[in-house]
Amino acid sequence: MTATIVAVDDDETIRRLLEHRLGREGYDVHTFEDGQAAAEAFAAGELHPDLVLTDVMMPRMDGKRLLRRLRNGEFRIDPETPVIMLTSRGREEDVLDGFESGADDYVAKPFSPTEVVVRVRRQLNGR
Amino acid sequence: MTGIPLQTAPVVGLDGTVLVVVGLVLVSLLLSVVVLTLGLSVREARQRRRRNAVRESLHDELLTRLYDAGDPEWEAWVGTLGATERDVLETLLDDHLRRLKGADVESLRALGDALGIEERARADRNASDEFVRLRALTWLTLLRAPSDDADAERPRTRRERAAVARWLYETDADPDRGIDALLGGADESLSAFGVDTLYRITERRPEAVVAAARDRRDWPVDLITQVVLVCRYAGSGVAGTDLSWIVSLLEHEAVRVRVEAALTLATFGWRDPIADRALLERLTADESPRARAAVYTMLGAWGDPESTGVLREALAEESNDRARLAGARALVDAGVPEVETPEPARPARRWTAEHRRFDERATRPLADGGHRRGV
Repeated sequence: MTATIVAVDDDETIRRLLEHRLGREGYDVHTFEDGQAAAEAFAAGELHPDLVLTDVMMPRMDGKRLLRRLRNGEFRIDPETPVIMLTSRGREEDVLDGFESGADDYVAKPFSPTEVVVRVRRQLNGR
Repeated sequence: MTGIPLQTAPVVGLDGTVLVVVGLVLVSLLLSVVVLTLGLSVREARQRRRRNAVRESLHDELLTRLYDAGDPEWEAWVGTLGATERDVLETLLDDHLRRLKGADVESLRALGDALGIEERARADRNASDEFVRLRALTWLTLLRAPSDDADAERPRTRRERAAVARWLYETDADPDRGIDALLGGADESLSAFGVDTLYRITERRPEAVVAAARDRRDWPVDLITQVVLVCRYAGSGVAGTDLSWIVSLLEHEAVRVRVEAALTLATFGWRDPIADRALLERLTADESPRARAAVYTMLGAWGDPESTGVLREALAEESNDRARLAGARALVDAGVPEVETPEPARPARRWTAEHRRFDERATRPLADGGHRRGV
């Protein structure tokens, strides 16, 4: 069965990159431009992702808040869904915040989409 | 009712025909401007629509060639593109080079070659327009195009200094060249981008930055302050170098430089050559309370008996409340007990100790794993 991945980033180029690269691996990829849009889809029960990839700094709702709400069980999806954070270089403190909020892994930008694929596989295989 | 009759009189010296001609010229000019503006706007809108339309398909093609094809055949693809497509493709290439790393970036640099970007950028390095030169430097940096001797010319502006230094840094050129581009002949402070670049260079080659900064007391105060701050935050690499130039700044004529030098040395810990008692006594007698406060912080951070001895003596004579408070904090940090604190500084020490206890309680985890939001 194809795993469903949700990628949340306010940068269109990154959304396209993730969609293309992960889609090429056979994943069903859905993208959102900020945490609020993803939260609305999760709350509506429209999507049941096997993994969430999220940027940290985004307008309306940032990645850390989205992660906390997910872990608090505020959405109609599994609160234990693996989450990988995408953080910017120079914002290493976000990594600690992310882990404290329940993130499973992180990838620093600029990034290699191949590395993202490897980390996604590792999280999905570990479930 | 009597009124003043309304009179119309010919304008003195101007004949009606001339007025009509001038009016016609003005109206014609106005109409020309309107038509020209509308024409340019329509052309711009068309170009934007066309660029947006081709951007989608070019983006798809770019990703397909980058990830799905064994050989992306950039040269052959670029050969099929028109001027607009190439222009849009350059913006896409710029976007992706900034966001990606690893093997993908190597492949995209070959696309840059196919588009002839490096060749154009090298030619634009000598453009008279500063922003054309900066754009050229950005491309050379993104493409990791190596610099050669001809490129080592002195940058003309502070923005260009930062851009040249970043280019040399990203292409792993000799760090001395990057430092020379950034700091050599600098007569004003660095831009924010320049400070960021200096920080990166300092992290990689602290001793080279320290060597460049030594004996440069002629730099403007803002620049010296920036370099000292970068050294403070660049970490342990700088601490292991010859710090005599920062020590000499403790007696610089500008208060700001003295303050930052002391706070920087505070982060590096006690060092034998610095802890000269005569020097420390001169510093604690500084005429500026801000500078004295920074020196107290430095002495407390060092925390050795010599330093705390000088600190205690200074606090016994300190007349400024803020400096006394900084000194009291330094004593607490150094673990000097209250009984050894000079009498005039004891109230400030008790106040500081109370605050430390408050801060500690506020951050102590609760039994359930959470944190207090206050006390």
